[in-house]
Amino acid sequence: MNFSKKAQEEMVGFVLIVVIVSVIGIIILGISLNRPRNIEAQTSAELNSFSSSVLSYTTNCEIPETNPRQIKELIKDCSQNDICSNGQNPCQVLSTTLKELVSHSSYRVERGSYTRYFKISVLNEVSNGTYNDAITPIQEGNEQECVRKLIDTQPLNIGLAENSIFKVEVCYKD
Amino acid sequence: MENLGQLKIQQMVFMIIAVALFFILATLFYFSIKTANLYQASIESERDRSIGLIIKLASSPELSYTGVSNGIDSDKLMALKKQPEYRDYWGVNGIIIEKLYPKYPDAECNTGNYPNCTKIILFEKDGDVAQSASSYVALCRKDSINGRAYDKCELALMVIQTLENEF
Repeated sequence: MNFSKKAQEEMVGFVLIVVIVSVIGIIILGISLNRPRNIEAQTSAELNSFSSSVLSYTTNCEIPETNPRQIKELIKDCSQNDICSNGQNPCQVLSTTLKELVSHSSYRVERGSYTRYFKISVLNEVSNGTYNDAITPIQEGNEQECVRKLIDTQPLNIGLAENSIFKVEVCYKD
Repeated sequence: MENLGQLKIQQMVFMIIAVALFFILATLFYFSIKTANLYQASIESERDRSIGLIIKLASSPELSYTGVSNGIDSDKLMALKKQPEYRDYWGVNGIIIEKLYPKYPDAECNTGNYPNCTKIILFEKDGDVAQSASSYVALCRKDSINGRAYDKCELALMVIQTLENEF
């Protein structure tokens, strides 16, 4: 009788330990899954070739007439509030063209696509290491779905600020 | 009393086995994740290496467009297309440039339809192609509006075909 009671006590103790460990494990797992994942962005040779090709793309915005502007020139025109010779707004042309370029590349975000998010921004350095958006960023998709992130920055020597960069971020599901 | 001792030993053995199993599974899980990352890294490295070859070819004087970073001269491509002696010069099995944006009629470029075409096949050797790699380029040419010349650059994909393990 004494043995049986002791065995029962031990079993209860063991079950209690298992339950406590499981509960702690579930809590830790829950916290780690809910925590926003801080993904380390990687550089990519392919994204680098994409962003440098995009910067050289010739748009249909002419400033002045018969002088079509490349994307990198249009960025400056947009931030200076210039107007294309056909009356279009350079910022609008810039936004539309960049979206079209992305949608015709492997970085397009669509249903069932591998790419989940992209963002193109132009940044001016305001102080040591601090950057401000020079134009409204162009982005699509949901950054929260990102698992793997690629990033590329191209220096812009167009006289916007002392240090301006063209930044492209792309991320994938896995 | 002897039974109790045996029971305790049995209990301890079970616990040791369970703990050992747990650690073995946890280690296996950790290494499977690590290996998956390693595999991903090796694919990335292979891709970067092949893109490096494309960038090297794109920046050669025979193809590059002066003054445009990552730019390829489409007029040069059309001229080189007619030079069969260049087929062995590049050390690859094929070079194809495909315009991505803006959209043109889906046709291979020749002297009759250039530049209103999509694909410039610089050359493509016969035989099986083991690998192909691609990278984005700016495909540029001289154009003019009302007699004023300017650089017209478009987004294109440069595809290189090779035999096995050439990258």
